[in-house]
Parts: sequence; structure tokens; C-alpha cells
Amino acid sequence: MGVGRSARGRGGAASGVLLALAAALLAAGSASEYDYVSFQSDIGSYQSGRFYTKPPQCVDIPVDLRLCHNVGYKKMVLPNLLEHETMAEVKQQASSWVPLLNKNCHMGTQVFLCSLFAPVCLDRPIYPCRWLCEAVRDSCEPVMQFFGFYWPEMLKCDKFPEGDVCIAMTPPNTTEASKPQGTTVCPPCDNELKSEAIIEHLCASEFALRMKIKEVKKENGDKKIVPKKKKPLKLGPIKKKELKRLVLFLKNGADCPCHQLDNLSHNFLIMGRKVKSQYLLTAIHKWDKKNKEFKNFMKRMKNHECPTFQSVFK
Amino acid sequence: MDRAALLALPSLCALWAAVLSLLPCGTQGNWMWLGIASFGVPEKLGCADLPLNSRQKELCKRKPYLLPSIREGARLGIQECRSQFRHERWNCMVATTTSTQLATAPLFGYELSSGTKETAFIYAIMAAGLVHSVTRSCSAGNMTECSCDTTLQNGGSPSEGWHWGGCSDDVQYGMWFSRKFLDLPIRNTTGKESRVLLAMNLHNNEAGRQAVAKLMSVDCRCHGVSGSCAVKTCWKTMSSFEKIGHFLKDKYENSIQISDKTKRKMRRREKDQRQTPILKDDLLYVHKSPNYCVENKKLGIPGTQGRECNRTSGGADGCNLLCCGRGYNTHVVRHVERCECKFIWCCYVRCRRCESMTDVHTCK
Repeated sequence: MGVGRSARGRGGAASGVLLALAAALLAAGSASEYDYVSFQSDIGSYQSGRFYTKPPQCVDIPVDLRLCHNVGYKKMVLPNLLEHETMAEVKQQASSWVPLLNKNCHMGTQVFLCSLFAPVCLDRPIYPCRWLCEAVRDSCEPVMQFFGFYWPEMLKCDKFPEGDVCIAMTPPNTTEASKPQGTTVCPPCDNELKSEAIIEHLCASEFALRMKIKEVKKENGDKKIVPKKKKPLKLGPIKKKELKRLVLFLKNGADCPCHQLDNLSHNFLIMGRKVKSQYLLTAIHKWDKKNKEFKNFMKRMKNHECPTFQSVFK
Repeated sequence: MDRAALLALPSLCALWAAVLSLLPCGTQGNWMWLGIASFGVPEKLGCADLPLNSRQKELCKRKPYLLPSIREGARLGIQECRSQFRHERWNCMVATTTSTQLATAPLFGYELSSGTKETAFIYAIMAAGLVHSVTRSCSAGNMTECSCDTTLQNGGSPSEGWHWGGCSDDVQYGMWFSRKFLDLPIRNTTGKESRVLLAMNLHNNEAGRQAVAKLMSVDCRCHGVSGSCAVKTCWKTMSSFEKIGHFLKDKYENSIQISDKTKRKMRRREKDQRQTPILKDDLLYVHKSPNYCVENKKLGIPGTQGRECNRTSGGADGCNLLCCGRGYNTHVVRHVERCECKFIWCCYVRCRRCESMTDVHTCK
């Protein structure tokens, strides 16, 4: 006695479609084993951070979301899985991760970061696999530490799924092909001379200087860089009286090569940030007016506006 | 005697309305009907057409932009009541609408006017629902009279590395409106109802509101460079309504019976307990609950026959308790579900379809 339910699905519509599909396939006598859930322009069951914030929607990944615009899909869910509610906020927070992407510390870095910053549009949120997070963290945090950063709370790996549906580009058992390069280049010196990349670095750095270097020496495991002449392009946390006595550090860089410092006879573009009382180098380029990319950077720098925290979250 | 009289009122009201083909009896409207999706065509009805009492209609006319929040508040309350009691003998089922009732019948049947623990919970959860939905509307920028909590727009603790920002929920406006919309009509009721029941309802409304205020929490977001917490913004937010429902359910389980001979101040029924104070967020009731096991058409109690129960549970949802010792029937149900889902790059999820059979038990 009693009315039994013949199917239980995720939502009435999905259940109905599922049943119809099953019935049709069985009638045809060639029952497939699989169901597919593809791109969804209508997202229903997302529960974004604040439970009553604006409803999630599927939007184009903008070209100027540099972290993710070439990740492999073209649309993302907003608010994203990091509770960023506006695209401006996504861009502002994602911009500081672009330089890490350029370090190529792990092949899955972009897939991992974009699964959170620009999550793919499906019928429910899908988080990155825990193993992917751990692999990226273990490969990339050592690089981040050269810049004075540590793996942030918001990307802690134990909050991501282990056995459940999760995002990863490669199968879990793939052995990471380690590249034995003998001695790796200091990450702040391992830069591509491209105007776009330099701009990204500029936005991710707190200060930028044009300067000549007097000498470089080792100190407590770091490379200590003593300037000779300096002109600020972006002061950030540097006070003007501090500028005179400024000394820079290449964090953990005592023994890694930095080819830019092999020849100190010309000017450099130096970018950095302040960590406690130390000024850390985050990027270094030869000041080369003849280089096409560098010239392009100088032109763009004059009217480029970095995404700012204040304008995003007021 | 009193209960019979109370029960007669809705019937008389409906009969009167039907006979005269008039709008619902002036002061008997029940706003809670707004939370039922099937009720009429609510989007097209104006204030005068809604099941509100006269004072509520007046308030509705003066603040028509609040109507969606009122409706949402009613829906929240009803949904949460059903959720919290879905495995109990009394499962918070609402009456179904019929044209002859004209939405003047009590939405919750006997429970709304009985002065029982169930009455207490209903009043509290509905008042909380209204506070919650109005406050959400304020934060969402849907209102002109209220918005985010502007006292928290600046300041914070720079030494600890955080500051107020975002949109802090301003629960005060929601509390104020809930009192105005729900409490004033109760206070102004003529002497038909018992004074102690009125006082009880007012108290329980306030207990629901206090639950929302009490469960406010602080949310923070780190948005320094590379996700660091060097820059951190915090805001105050209401808890999810489910959490508030849990809180009130716990109050329901520990509710306090008060004397029905209260004169000026409500006091506990047991004389030896009267020194223990009654707190603002306690739920109060006057009368013991009826037997919810067997059908009682007079009181609108459906009984537990036909309810689904859990054979292996020893709790309230277990077959022993829910079926009140009458036993249960078992039948088999076939499920087809997605299983073994995997994300395939890029970008779709592939699942297998799995069939399973489960036993479903229902009370005899």
C-alpha cells in the first residue's frame, strides 16, 4: 500500500529528463551506460557564500581577466567559488596570481586557480581535486616564498573534495615529470621580457623603481642589493626619507643565479614589496630603451590603471 | 468550552463571508497565507485583497514596497517550520485552500489558537521569518527606508589587520517593522481572546525576533595580495534561516508552561519554579498539546497514519515513536540515480546511471 516514487533525481526537471532518456534508450534496445551534464547557461542550485547574495549567473570570461581568459573554457560563474561578487573584484584578486602563473611552477596551476576564480558553468559547483591543490601548493609555495608569500587560507587544500566529482586536467596517477635543472634561476629574475607580463608584475608589486646598483652581496641567505641611484616610478609603502637609505633583498636568493645582476653597468627596472621591515625584490629587468617590448611597457605604464581594492569593495 | 468557541470563529467567519459574498471578515485575515505559493495570484493582488487585518492593510498601503518581503517572510517561516518538524508527529502541515474558506481559516488549523507549544513555535518562527526577509531586502538595496548598517561602514581594528566594510545587515529596521506589523494588531485585539493567550503570542513573537538578533555573526574576507589576510574586511551578517530554525526548535523542546490565570505578569505554571526568571528568548505556552497520533477532524489533526518512518531509528522519526506503536507497512521503491560522476576536461560531468531498490516504511 502507498504510492512509491519511481525515481529520485537532482531536481524535478533533471529527474524528468533522466527518466525520459532512460525510457527512450530502453525502448530503442540500446541502453547507454552514461549521462552527460554539459554547459549550463541557467544555474539553479548554486549556493554562493552569503546565502542571500545576488543569484549566480553564467558570464563570459573577460579578456582582461588575464589569469583565466585562455584557461580552456569561455564562460564562468559569478559570484565565483571564492565569494567574489563582482567581476571587478575577481580581476583585482586574480591579478596578483598572474605573476605566479608565469613562473610555471606546476602545469596545473592555472586549472587549479581558475576552477575557483572563474568556475566553469555547470549545474552545480565543482571544486578542484584535493590532490591537484596539494600538487600545485607543494610545487608553487617555494616559489611564492621568494616573494614573501605563503599559501593563503582561502586555498587551503583540505577543503577540497577527495573522492567526489572534482576538477583536474590530468589523471591523479600521473607522475610529475621533474625537471632537474641543476640550479634554478631566482624566481624574481626568471621573467619574460613582454610588456604585458611586466605590467602584470607592476600591478602585483607594491613599489617600482628605476635604479642603478652599486653592489650585490650575500647576507643571511639572501642577496642584498645596494642601490647607487634611484628614481621612483611607484612608491607604494616606501616613505621618501626611507628612499635614500633603501636596501633591497632577493629573498632566499643567496645561491641562485640572477643573470640580470651579472652586469651592473646599466639601469634596472626594479619591482618589489615590503614584508615587515625588509624590501623584497619581486621582479628585475634591464632598463633597455632599445628593446621593443620594454619601450611598449613604458608607453603603456603611463596610463595603465591597476585594479584597486578600494574601488572594488566599498 | 473556550476552545470550542475559538474553533467556531473561523467557521462562522467563512460562512458569513460566503453568504454575503463579501471580502473576508474585516479583522480576521491571516498574513501567513502569503507564504503559500498556490494562494491565489499574489503578485496581482493589492493590499485590500490580501488576507491581512485592517491595520496590516493600512501599513501595506503606506509601504507597498515591503509586500515582497512580507510574502517572503511568511514563506520562510512556513518552510522552516515544515523542515524542523518534518519527522515529528506534529509536522507543521498547513491547511489547503478552498474557495469557500476565502483564506480566513487559520493556516495552521487548531495549532494557531490553541496556546500550545506548537502555537509558540509558529508565532516565533513566523516573526523571525519576517525580520529575516525584511533585513535581507534592506541589505540588497531594495528599500528606501533602510540599507546596510551604516554605523559599521568605517572603523575596525587596524592593529589586528581588519576593518568594517561590505554590507553589514541592519537587523534593527526588520525588528521594528516586525513589531509594527505583527504585535500592534495583537495588542489592539478586542477582548474576545484570553488575555494570557495574547500576552503569550506577543512574547513568542519577540522570542523569534531575538533569535535573529542573537545569532548575528561576523563574516570576513581576505583580499590582500595573493589572497593574504594582510587586508581583511569584515561585516555583520544574519545566520542562515535554517540555523535560526534550529535555535527555535531547541527553545520549543525546552519551552515553559505558564499559568492561565496570569493577571499582570506572566508566570510559570509550577509554583515551585516561579522564582526562575522567564527570559526574552524563551518560548511560552499555556495548554498541553493534544494527541497528534490519531486523526481528530474536529481539531484538524491528521494523525500519523500513512507517514513515512525510519525503521532503524530510535528517535522521533523512528517507526516505533512516529507510528505510536501501531506498526508500519513496508513497500519497495525503485530509484534511478546518477552515480560515479567524473568531471571531464573540458567541460562536462559524466555520470553513470544506477538503479537501486529501497524499502519505504509507512505507519499503519
